[in-house]
Amino acid sequence: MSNVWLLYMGFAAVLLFAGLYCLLTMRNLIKLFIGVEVIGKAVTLGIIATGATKNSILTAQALAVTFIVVEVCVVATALAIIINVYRHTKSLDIRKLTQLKG
Amino acid sequence: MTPQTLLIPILLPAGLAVVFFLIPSRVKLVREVLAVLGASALLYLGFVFFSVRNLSWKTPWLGRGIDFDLRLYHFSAFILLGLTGFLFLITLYSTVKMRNTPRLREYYGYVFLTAAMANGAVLSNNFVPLIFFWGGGLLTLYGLITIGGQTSHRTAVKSLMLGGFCDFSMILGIGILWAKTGTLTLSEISVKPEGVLAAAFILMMIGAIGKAGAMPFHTWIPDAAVDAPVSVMAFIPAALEKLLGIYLLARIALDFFHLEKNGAMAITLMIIGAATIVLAVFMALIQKDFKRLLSYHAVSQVGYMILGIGTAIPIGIAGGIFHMINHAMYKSGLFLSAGSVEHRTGTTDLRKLGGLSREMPLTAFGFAVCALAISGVWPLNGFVSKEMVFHGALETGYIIFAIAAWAGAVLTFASFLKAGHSVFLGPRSQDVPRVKESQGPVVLPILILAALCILFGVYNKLPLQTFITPILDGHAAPGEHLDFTSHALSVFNPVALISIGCLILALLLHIYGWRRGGKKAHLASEPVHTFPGLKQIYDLAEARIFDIYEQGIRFLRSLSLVLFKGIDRPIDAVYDKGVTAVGRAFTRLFQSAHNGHYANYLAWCLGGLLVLVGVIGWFVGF
Amino acid sequence: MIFLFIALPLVVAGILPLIGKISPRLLPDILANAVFAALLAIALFAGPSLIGQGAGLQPFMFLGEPLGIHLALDGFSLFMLAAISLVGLCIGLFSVDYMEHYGHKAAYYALLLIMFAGMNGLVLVTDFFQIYLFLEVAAIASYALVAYGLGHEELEASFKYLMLSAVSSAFIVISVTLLFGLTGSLDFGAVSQALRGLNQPLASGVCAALFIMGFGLKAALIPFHAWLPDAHPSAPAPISAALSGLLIKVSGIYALTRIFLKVFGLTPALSNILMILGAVSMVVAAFLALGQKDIKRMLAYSSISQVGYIVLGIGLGTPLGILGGLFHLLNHALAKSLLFLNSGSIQMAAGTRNLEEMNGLSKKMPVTAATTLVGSLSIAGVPPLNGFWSKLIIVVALVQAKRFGFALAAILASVLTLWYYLIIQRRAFFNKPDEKWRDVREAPFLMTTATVVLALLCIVIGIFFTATISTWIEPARDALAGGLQVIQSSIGIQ
Repeated sequence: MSNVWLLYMGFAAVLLFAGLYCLLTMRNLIKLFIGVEVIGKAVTLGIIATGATKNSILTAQALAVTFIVVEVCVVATALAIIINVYRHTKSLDIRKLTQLKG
Repeated sequence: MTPQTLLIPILLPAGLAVVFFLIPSRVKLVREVLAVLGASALLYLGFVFFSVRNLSWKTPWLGRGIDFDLRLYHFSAFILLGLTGFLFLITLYSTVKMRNTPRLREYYGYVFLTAAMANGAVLSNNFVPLIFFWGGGLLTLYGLITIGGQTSHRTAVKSLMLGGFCDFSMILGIGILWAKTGTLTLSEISVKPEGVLAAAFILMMIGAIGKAGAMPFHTWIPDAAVDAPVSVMAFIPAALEKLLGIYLLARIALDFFHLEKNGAMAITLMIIGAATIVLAVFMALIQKDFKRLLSYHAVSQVGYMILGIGTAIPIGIAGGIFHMINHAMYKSGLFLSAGSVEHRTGTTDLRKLGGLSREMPLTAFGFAVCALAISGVWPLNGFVSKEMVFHGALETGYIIFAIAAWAGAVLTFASFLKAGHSVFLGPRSQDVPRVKESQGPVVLPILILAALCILFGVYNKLPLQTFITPILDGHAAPGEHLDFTSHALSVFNPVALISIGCLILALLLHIYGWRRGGKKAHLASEPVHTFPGLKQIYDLAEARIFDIYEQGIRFLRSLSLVLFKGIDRPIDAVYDKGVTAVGRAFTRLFQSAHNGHYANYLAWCLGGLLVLVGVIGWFVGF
Repeated sequence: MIFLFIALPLVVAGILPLIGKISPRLLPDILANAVFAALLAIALFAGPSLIGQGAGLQPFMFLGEPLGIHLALDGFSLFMLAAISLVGLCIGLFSVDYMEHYGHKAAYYALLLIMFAGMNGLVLVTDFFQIYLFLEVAAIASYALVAYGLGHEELEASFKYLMLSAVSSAFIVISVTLLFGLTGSLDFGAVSQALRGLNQPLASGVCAALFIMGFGLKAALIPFHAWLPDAHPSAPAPISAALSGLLIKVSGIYALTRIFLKVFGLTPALSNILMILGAVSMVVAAFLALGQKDIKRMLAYSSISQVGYIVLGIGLGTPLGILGGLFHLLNHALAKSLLFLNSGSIQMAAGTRNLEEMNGLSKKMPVTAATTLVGSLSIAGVPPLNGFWSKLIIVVALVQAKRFGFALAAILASVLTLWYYLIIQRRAFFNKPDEKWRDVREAPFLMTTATVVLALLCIVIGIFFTATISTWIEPARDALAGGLQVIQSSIGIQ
């Protein structure tokens, strides 16, 4: 566990917590989703950092690229859902999405 | 003949039953043809198996000694032949008699399913499949009784309860036997009925005789005689249940436990047998309905079988087993002839019928042969088997049993004289329009059974040597030779002469009662009915005081009322307020936590993660 | 041969939208069901002989480094594949009629096949990277499928599902990254070796915790379960069946089991954590199910509860416990799919999911009533159906390991389970029929066939459970045997 690695992971952790904070407190659907994206970037940073400091950058790159591709699919799906939600409720407030309870 | 073919007698009728359940109600001809063909195939198979005589098949099933074990040997092959034979005859009969019944689909389905269960039970060599098939028969019987009509539901429940009780007792007995011997395979068990094993003997005996319909587990049979279709009566209480019940009883007495002559168990059996003979035949005598009369006789004749086996003397046991197959034949024939009368005239009330012998000669002939056979008239099969039972009873040294058997014989013949006289002889009754003889498929089984009665009587060497003697191999003392046929038909011995005397007594009784009743045949039993002392007992019996099922139900009802008011209500209050309320409170608590907010849910996830990290960190040991 | 499990559904899913333009209903139906049938046939007939061989593929190189996708088939994987294909076939058959009024069947089947490709892939891989990949493939397909009807409810459920699941996937990747950092490899075998040698209990503990949270959310263990009661009811019925019956088990439980038994080894700490999570899920979800009015929501909570059973059994770690857990996995997959498909039949016939509105449907829908009864009794654990045996094995395993508290919790949960299933039976089928159900008819033939097949399997497996266990479950358990050594030596069971 080298110090450099810990430093990089620290940055990634900061991003992670920022994303989590965003998810916990924002009300706009798009902003929530950006929170997810930020978490995704944190993860990507972590992957690349690990790969760089552990001398296996190629595997790390593969993993990071895959992760980004998957993230893109998730973005597409999520935006499709958000658009449809907007068509239904005419609003982007997550508090409108609390019908399913209990 | 590979061992796997042993599965055919079980799977073929079961498969046919499924097919019958699926064929729509309107397609009648296909169903009838299929039923008869299926039953013929099974009968053919029965013959083939009987000639093969020895086959077994086994596969591990549930582990711990519970295997699916089938064994064909002389006894089970013999019973299997009987089962398939009766299936064939009843199916043939049903094609005409049951043609206009609603729920015909289910009828054939249940009949074949019953056959599958019975075949499985008789072939089983391991107690667990035996219990399974034995119990399966209860359910199909329930189904068949309910086909009879509106009121049949109550009787069906009664048969299920009584049968279930006997089954349960049998399972307990088997459990004790398993605990003591460590094996569940029928062919491996052989113990003395002492101590706790005596209890096992009694419990299993209850199961066997309950199935066969002895007292006091018989009370559903007379009710079913009225409520269920007559072909069901001819199939199950008359034939199948006797075959299965006495088969099991014989195995219990001969194979599993070594019954000693005049031992405690043997005496128990003989008492039950004798009591059944006498009490049931008294009830039979006074019946006004043809089918109920026959059903009480079915109960009474079981007494002979049990008495015979209880003597623990080879000739008595052989007599009991022979009586089983004979009874199945003539009782079935009697029920079928009652059904034939019902088919044409629409009634079986003895007060309304009369003088039908001219219009239904074949039915009358079949009835006459079977009635004479059940009464033990020379030279029919009933005479042979009854004589064997009498000999055995006398040899035990307790004359009382023989006297009870003879008393039964008197009243049996008297009641059949009454029945036959009422239905077929005497003046033609005005209550019933002119009729014709029944159709071929109805009359043919009756005649076949009558012919078999004659055959098994006159040529008794055939059944005795092929069927019965092999069963007793190994159970006779060395040196004692097992030849029952030599004196079977002889009338010049004291026993036979007493029997003939009984018959004459019965004839006199009947004529006396007939004359007293103003020459009305159905009143011929009135002198016995109104005999002081007997009359009160009869009235009580008609009020079902002696029916343990009814009494049991009444007792249970009052007990449950006491429990309900005294114990259940208070507990219920606690439970209702306490447990359910607590449960509901938890539910509401948890439900309120699911408020639909995403942030909320995410918070739990993250909180859970933190807890996990904390727990793991703690375990890792800081 | 093995890669067909992944390739075939993907390829067909790829061409389905094109085929959908030509023949919007018939060809997609036939193609999709043919794929399921083919996979089932391969799993049942070719599978057992292939166990032990790994099919290694090296399809592409990336900047000079080989990047192979290694697929390995062992007893556990084959068991899961068989279960997935079997339930998949029934779902496919059911969808033929059910999805008629949703429309766009080609797209639906394409998404369904992608989800199944993802699940199949998940059970076949030997590598953390691949697990994540196939996990996401299946998950993304499921997000779309949950939202399929595009009603307000579906969209809300799908959105929350997506958001929670994205977070969990992120945590999984974080954990994979940490492991990669610690051990320098992504392959199960290599990581497992390296972890034994490494002495960083806290770090590997953190990784384990992250995995539990990540996969626990996929498996819907409490407290990570909140998406499931919204997502499963809102999805169309066959999708509910696929999600509840398969996805939560494959992406959640299979992955957890594989990772913890193969890579980490089941230490007492992990075992206790899994058992507590399992027990809490079992009991709390049962209480929650009692208060539901929507039949599918009740079934969804029941899924959470039963997953708790499975995790409890597997978490116990003794051979019998794992056997019970795996057997319950199979039984629950069959029975829960059956129940969700039947709820779809009811919804199609009566137009409602509200238990207080439906009354006395048994006369009009006898097949549905009978199969629902079989499914309910199976999950409630009534002999001689299959659920009884698996629950019994789990309880016996708990008692043998002297964890009596957990055994009591299991029995309590069983009682609660029976309670709310009887509520379903009574309300939906056995009350006096309402007037408005006069015109209700039984579901179409394919739908009833699918449910009858599942019901028959429940009964047959219940009767022949010893044969089922020895053919399918014991090889699965034996394939996991490696991780058992660790726990056995610490609990002291021989």
